[in-house]
Amino acid sequence: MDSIIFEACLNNFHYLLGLILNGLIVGAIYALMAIGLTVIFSVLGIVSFAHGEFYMIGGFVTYFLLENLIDIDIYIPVIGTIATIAMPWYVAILLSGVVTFFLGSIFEQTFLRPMFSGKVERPGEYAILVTFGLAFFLQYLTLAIIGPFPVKADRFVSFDIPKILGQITIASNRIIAASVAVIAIGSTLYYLQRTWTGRALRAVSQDKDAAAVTGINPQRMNRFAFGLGCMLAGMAGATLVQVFSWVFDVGVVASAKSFVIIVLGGMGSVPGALFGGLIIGVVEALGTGCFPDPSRSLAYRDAFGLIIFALILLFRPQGFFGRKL
Amino acid sequence: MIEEKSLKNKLFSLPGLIVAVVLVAAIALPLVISYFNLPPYQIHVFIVGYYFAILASSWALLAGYAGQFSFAHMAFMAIGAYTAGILGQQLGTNVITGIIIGTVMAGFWGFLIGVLCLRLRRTYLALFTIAFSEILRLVLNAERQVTGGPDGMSFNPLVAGTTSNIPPYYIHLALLIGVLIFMYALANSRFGLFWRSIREDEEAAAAMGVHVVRYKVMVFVITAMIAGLAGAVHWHYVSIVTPNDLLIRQMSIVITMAVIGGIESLIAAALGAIVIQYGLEFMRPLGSWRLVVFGLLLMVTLRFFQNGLLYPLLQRLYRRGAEAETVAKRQVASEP
Amino acid sequence: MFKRKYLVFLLLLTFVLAACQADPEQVEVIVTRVVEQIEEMEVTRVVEQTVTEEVEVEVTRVVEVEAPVEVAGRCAPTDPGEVEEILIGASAPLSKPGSVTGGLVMQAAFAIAVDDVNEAGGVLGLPVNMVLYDTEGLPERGTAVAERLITQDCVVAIVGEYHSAVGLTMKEVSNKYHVPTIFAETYNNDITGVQYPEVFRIAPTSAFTAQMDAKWLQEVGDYNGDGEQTIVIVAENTGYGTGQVDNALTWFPEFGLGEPEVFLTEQTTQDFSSVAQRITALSNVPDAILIKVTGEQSYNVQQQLYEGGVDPAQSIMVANQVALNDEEYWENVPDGAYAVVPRIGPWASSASETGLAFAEKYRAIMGRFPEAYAFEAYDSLTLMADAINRAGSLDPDAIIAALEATDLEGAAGRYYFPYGIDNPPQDSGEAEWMWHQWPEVPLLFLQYTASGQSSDDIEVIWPETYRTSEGAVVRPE
Repeated sequence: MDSIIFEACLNNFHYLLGLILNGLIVGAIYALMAIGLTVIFSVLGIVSFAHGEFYMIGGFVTYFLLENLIDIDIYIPVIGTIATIAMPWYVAILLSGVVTFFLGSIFEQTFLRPMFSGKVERPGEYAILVTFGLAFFLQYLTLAIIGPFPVKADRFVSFDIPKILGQITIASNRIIAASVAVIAIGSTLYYLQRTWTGRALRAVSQDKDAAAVTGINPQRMNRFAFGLGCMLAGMAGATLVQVFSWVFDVGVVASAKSFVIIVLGGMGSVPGALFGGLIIGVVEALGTGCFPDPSRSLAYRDAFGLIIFALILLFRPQGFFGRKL
Repeated sequence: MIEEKSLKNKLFSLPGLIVAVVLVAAIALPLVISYFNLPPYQIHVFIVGYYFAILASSWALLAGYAGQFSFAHMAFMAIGAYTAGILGQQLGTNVITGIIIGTVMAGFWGFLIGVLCLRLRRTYLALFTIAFSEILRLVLNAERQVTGGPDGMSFNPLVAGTTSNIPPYYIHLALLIGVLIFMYALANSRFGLFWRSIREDEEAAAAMGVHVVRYKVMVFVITAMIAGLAGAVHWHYVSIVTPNDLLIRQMSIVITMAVIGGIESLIAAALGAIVIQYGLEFMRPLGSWRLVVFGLLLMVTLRFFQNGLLYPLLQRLYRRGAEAETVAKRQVASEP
Repeated sequence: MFKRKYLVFLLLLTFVLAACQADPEQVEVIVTRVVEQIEEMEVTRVVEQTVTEEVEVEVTRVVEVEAPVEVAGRCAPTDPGEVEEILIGASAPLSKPGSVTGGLVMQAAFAIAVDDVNEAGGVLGLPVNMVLYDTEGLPERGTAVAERLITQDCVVAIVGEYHSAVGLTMKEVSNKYHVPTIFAETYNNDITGVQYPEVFRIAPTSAFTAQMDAKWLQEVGDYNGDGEQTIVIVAENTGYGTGQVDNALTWFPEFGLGEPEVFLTEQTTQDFSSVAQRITALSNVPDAILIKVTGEQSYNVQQQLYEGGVDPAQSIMVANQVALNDEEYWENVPDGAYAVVPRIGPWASSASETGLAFAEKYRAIMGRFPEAYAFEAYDSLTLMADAINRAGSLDPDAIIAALEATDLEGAAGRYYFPYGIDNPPQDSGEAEWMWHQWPEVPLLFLQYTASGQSSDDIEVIWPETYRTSEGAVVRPE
């Protein structure tokens, strides 16, 4: 058992391509999460440590919508017939986005607003701690209510993928998840660039006072941005609940990944988060796929990622894409 | 004449009395417990409470006084504990040597992290220190030959030849009191002033001639050594430490203790730790709901009681003492 | 300035008091002990004697009468006549970082055991009650919980625990207070290896499960017919996973199998698609993939391996035993047909009557056949109740002696402890951790043979005595 895999990385093109494709798919979902976090950072100037928990909630909402409302009986009074409609998965994803949006907005209004009205002495530290507390609270609340047993939604769409180039296998649920992520990212970018509220958000992120002068209510924009960020996290969770088994602490890893990505891409930069997500996805896949000794390298894999993360923080805290929404 | 009187007033002032009462109570606790045949388990709860009190109050010095919101405090604790443990297990050194070297090692890493973190603030500092403690945890998990990996590492007993809880209780208590006095003295000296000036405005402090680099690194080294010392002593008592003991979840417990006690007061943070440790233990039959309460309490305290829940109480008592003092002073002054 | 001096003075006072207090403390303990014993033994003896006399006289008498050894702090009743119920302590992880699923299962099993013992007449004619605390999977909590159970709740014995690291600290407390303890699911060798008289264990060890894996694999042979038997292990980087890997590396070659290819995963990893790709790119198609990962992570690994192109017709997937929770399994691993599940503890077809009766009650609560650790939790409590009954008293030494003499048909099999105080295992050339260890943990290999199959209809493929299938493994059509 020599280090065959390492060689496969060098001389097996299909294997390498498969790794990269898989990495890009996972990376697209990472990017969706990270864009949510970056929107929050650029408008409110804080990092939400509870980002992963909104991801977790999004997944659970979709799961329960699909499991419990799979057939809705609709009674139409005049005709008197009953129509049965299955809850479509895309509606479930949108609904979990709505739920997480409102949860995020409510939290912003109750706990973060005082930061911006000068009622808190050290706002930066306050934000870290209060979102940290929220993460703790949401995790254990979910545990207490739902319990520790893993759940998973059925594949949204099931189809056989012809093996690309005869060798590479990619599961249908991953393709669906990546497609949803791409659509969500696309709509978010469009929204930020082309609509009035999107522009207002960007204006607030660039200069709060100047934006206020032009008639934008910065407080409302804060609440909206936090809700939007949480919504993106929730939708990322909603698309992944058919790929991974879902438990109450599933968000811990997801938030850790998002932190790494936004630091890599530059805090507050949307293109940075997008490319950061894709890069992290691919690097992780290659790291796992190409290390010579699987038993040791896998145990240290997360540590390598964190070391790089720490180095970027130290030597290039502005990331590689600069700041600006 | 006036000097003497105010001193006397201070000595018998309310806060002084309270400190004395709390101290006497803490010292007498094991006596009371064994006299009334109460369960020694209570002693264990307080031992763990004192351990967390050292961690929470030293974190309060770092975060509340010097404004460095580091999440690496438990990592320093683990460096102290693991160094002491590895020395004891692999080289067979005695407990005291292990604790001393562990403390020094934690201070050394505190120095490194302090130097590396000079430029980082707020979120960046938080993220960097989280990354550092996660890396440490992964390394401790992976290096099984040295650290015992996920099974944990065993320690020689803290006090050889006895299984009684009472000697460790006094060791922890003495450590807590010693550390509190040391930190209190520091915080009320020039150092404390400089740290607070750095916390409020780093540039302004530098402009006023505060050697920002030196004092920032210094506070990291000092608090890291205190955390390492607490870790080295405490895990000798528990007898086994695992990498799970430095999960971010554990760090968040220390932070919550300090926040609920009052992050800008060392004593309040220490009291907060003891109260919460006791509360969590008391609520154990509630299962995971107690952690829900815990998270909610942290958020509510931050939002509505920024000075913590205990600090305002202490302050009120102190003010009452100060009031009496002022009245006395005025009386003295008005005497012909 | 003065304030500081004042504080220093108080500190000194602390030390002085602490120093003064150390010696009298010990004396005091002895005195109280003696006084208690007088009350027990001789009512006629008057307390008018001076303290010193008592100490001298009574200590010799303690030996004569063989009164139970009193340990300071231990408050369990020694006379069943004094109490209204017999209290047994239990521990299990009920919050993170412990395994919450494992803890909840054990909690349910303990509750059933308590009911069953009481229905059968209780212990020493008294009803049994149980106090269960959460250990969070943290060693320090283990100390706290054991201290609380013994010195506050005054339990006469302790059963349970899931995590090895917690068991390691709990056994110290049990030893310190001399409280009989049966560990249910902790497999670490040192727990019984230190050979405390109080500590017993009914869980299998990693060495045992590795040997069973090897025996079954030996019988399966070259599954995909490529001329070589290749075995892959995907293990989590925890005490459980690395223990399994170490023992597989030691034992597989002894059974003539090649050294397995090992993939260690971090507990925090969710995405295993690259691992899947790596396995499919191996030069030899693996004949068996053993998943030594617990909980929901094992579902993630297994499902993602299928999705990544591992073909059950070429490689046997050996899942974790959580896969026997059929409803949860099929929800999380929809492609998991033809997976093999090693089963520790009995299965419907191999269980005794006691086992089936327990399984039925468990199913009424949890909706499935009991997990291995459910059986272990149930049996640890019934074993302890049985031992106390046979001991006829609450004296720890009598209970330990009764436990050593155990011969009981429990839910998971016939229990006995071949090695103990009078014949330590090393005298018979056995490993030290065979001390107070149940040697005959039952182990079966089961296999799902259809998609969505209920675990009631699952095939038993190994060992031969219980086999319902054609051979040592069922091939997909």
